Amino acid sequence: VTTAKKNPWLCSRRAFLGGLGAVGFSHLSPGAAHAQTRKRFVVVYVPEGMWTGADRPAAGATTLGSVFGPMDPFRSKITALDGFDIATAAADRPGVDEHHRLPHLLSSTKMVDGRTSGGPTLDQRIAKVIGGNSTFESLQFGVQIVYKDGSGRLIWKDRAEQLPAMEDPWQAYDRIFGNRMGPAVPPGQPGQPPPRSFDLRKSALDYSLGEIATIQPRLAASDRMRVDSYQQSLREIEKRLQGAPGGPAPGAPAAGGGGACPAPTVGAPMDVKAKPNFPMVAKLQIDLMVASFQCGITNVASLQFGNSVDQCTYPWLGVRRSGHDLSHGGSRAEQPKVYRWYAEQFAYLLGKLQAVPEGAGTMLDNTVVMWVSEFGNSFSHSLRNVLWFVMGNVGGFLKQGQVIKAPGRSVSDLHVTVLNAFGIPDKTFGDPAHCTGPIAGLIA
Amino acid sequence: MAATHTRKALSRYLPLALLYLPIACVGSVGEAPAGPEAPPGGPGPTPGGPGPSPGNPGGPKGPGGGPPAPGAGPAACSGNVGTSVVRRLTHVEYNNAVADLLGDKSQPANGFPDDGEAGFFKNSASVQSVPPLLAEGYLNSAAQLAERVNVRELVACDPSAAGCVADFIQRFGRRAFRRPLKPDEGQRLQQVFENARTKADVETGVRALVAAVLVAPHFLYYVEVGGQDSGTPGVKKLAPFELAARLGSLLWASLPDNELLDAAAAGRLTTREQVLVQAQRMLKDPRARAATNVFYEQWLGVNELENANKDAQLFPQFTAELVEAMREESVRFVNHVIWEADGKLATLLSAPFSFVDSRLAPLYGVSVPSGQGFQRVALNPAERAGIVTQASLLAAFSPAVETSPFKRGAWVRTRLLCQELPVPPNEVPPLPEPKAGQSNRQRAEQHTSAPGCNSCHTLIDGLGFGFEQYDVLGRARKMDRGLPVDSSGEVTATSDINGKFNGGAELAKLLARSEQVRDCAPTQWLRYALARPEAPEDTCSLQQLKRSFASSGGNLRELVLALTQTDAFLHYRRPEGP
Repeated sequence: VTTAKKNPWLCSRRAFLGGLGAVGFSHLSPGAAHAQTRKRFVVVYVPEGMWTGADRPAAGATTLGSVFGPMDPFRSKITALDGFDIATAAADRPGVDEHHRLPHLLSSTKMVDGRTSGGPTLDQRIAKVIGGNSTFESLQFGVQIVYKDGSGRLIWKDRAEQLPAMEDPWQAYDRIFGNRMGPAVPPGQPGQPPPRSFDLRKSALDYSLGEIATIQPRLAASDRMRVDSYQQSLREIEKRLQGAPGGPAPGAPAAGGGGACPAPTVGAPMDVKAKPNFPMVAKLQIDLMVASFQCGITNVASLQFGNSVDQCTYPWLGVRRSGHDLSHGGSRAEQPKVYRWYAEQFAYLLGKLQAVPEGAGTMLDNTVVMWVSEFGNSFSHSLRNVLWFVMGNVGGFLKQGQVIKAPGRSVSDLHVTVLNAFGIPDKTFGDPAHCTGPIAGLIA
Repeated sequence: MAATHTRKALSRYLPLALLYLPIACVGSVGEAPAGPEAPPGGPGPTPGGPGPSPGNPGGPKGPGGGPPAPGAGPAACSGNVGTSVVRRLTHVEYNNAVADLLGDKSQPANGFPDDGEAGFFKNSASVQSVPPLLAEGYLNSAAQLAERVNVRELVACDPSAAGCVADFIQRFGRRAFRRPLKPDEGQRLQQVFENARTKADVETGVRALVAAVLVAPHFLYYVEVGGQDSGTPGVKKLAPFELAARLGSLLWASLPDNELLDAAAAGRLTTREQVLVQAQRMLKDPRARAATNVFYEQWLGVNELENANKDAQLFPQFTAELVEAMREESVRFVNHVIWEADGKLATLLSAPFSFVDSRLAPLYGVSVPSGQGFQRVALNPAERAGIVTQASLLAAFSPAVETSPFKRGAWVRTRLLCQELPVPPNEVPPLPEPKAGQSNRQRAEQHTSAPGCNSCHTLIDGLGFGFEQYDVLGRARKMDRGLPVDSSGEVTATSDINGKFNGGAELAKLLARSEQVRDCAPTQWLRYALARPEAPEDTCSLQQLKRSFASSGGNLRELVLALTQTDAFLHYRRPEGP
């Protein structure tokens, strides 16, 4: 059941926004002034990883191959990282089984109790540095994430603090462009000034922060952590309510000076959990993500397609078993179809980024996009020999248009390289025992 | 903790063609359950002795099913309890709480990001952080609920009149926080009201008050710090209001009512007998049905049905309506067994009837007059017995195209037998592709008959093969891919029901008479009630609960009441550290 259906405020709020978008917001965010220097980071998760005999990109070839070919138009801006290990996951034994390793992918830490990440994920480290001039330090998008345990939890603000993804583009629209955390506006009155000037949410938030402070001292550290996470989340919202640096609303000039900040079109809500709607939800999430960048609303985003133990059956591709059943010996002709479809989604994302002029180049020149997945061989659920991609660039830091084969090298080395690309001078990322340092060949 | 996670993981995800080299198998599950003749307390950890390790909370243990040991009354556990956890309201509890507080049944938490999962239960504290998306949900929901409130009805006096709002703050705050307000807490809420009243009007003041209470940590979290010393080092008795809150959560998945809070305030929630009186009263309330359904849906995995996925071409009848009917059948059946029939676990597992409507009738091969909703029907006893063979579970634990003996077998092993499956090793060799002319079972056997694999796989395969007579929708079938279905199976590694059987109904009847299964139900209830896996210090309480459940003849109504009498439920142990 779509959550959009359950939210009686959503439709009218969107109608209201439609009216507002037409007249445009007059305020320009302080963020827009920094437009030229905006750097952005995107990580996209694709479930189930590579399979035996997959057509992997070859060095020096003129195409990324039969599976990744849809990304060929951007080949000069893509590096394939082939043969790397999710070393912290492979070492975290006995731990949990391979179906639950998502927290490892971007945190490179040993999991806590087999349930939660041991530290922040790469995107969150980067967001701390480049997220300050935007409304949201980071945004998490998702498409049909069925499992909410270790199979589905990709992004972690910190140890044991998971950041769930927005899986409903209509709710996401409302949150990102609808100023939901701004003054309360009653539904059904498009364009009308809010009649109630008193903001119940702001008042409640202030009160709650005060109360949290009264109970924290009474709690043991392990319990306090959970209450602290509520406090931190409220503080983040408080900053937004106070008009922290943020982007202009739809209709206003874009952050990068390349035309108007676009009002994305999301159309009529649909059942976001229905498998046939998976492609439409994916497209909308990508549209919202790029629009959020253009409008200066965020600089860091993730997009999570499903989860480990992929439950999508890809009916629009004529595939009948779920992605996970395919990895357990379903017809092997079908898995390449699935991966090619994901490559097409990347092509769509990269195309959208490249279509936005920014400075002397395009938004893709200021955006690093990572393709991550959990298995190097989905048939054996191996956490080694993965194929990941790093795309786009930031200040020309990355050397693109190549294949880097590094059997046995830890993905943590990629993570620290990306940290360096964003000006974070760390020598290691995550568990230092599984990180040897930046990948020299990836640096221009 | 990892083990709890894995238990769920394997039961849910075990794929069609799992081929794991079971290096760790024998060690993990082979801590063989002791026979039923073992003395109480003998096979399992003895009180005060070493309990199950936290990493292996569900390992087979002695059934403890004999007659109560001398002195095994409620006081026998010396107030011992595992480390308590501060957790937040689950989304179900949030929805129920705002319904109780405001009469608003809109279930706003359905729009929140999902509760985390760990083990089978969605109340596990270990995954309960509050990310910004959830905090926004709390704030938006609070504001929207407050906007909708009829202020006059809610405060039940003229809010401009002297004392009206101050009284309301005490009344509303006590209910929402499950305890009386401290003076300074009342003052701060009064300030919220005054602030909004000054800037807007009196009505807005009340709305601001309501919104504030709904985002207060005292409302959203079960904050426990304990009351009087218990006599056991590190352990306190729960303070009466903390106990009231636990009872509300356990029995109603909501807030305590005023009667319960009054009892706590008056010192009438102190003795076990007083707790029992309240629990008995609360169980008679309709809210208890919905609340205990939450447990049964999560324990049995009926809630997994929402993630079930079938190939649309092969199974076009697998519509949202059919899924809803499957779920409702199980809910009605569980409710009936527990509240209207004998309340026995054995009945739950093997009753020869169920509740079927016209949507489900073709699936079960029975006829039900359409337009009359669900009817109690007798099912073919050769095919069906109890919850074990209901379509909801058979469909929930099946992939999209072929059945999975592994998923279904793991369901029995982890959820009903309370045993864990070992973590499979890394780097499993790739599997052979399916061959034509091979039944699903033959294909599965091919993967798992290899030496080294089968010692693990017999733990699940022998159980799961018995369900081959049902397709991925739960329909009975005689043929699979042109070959006769083979539903012969074997129960292994249990304390009392090892042996061969044929088909799901036979398996269900074995499970229904198993002492190991009978001991599993209290274990799962305790995990749910404490929102954490059992710890060694809970062993005595758990053994006591098992004995009490056994002596009630496996009565599930009595089990919930007995749970409220255990030291583990009644006590608090502060986490170590600062």
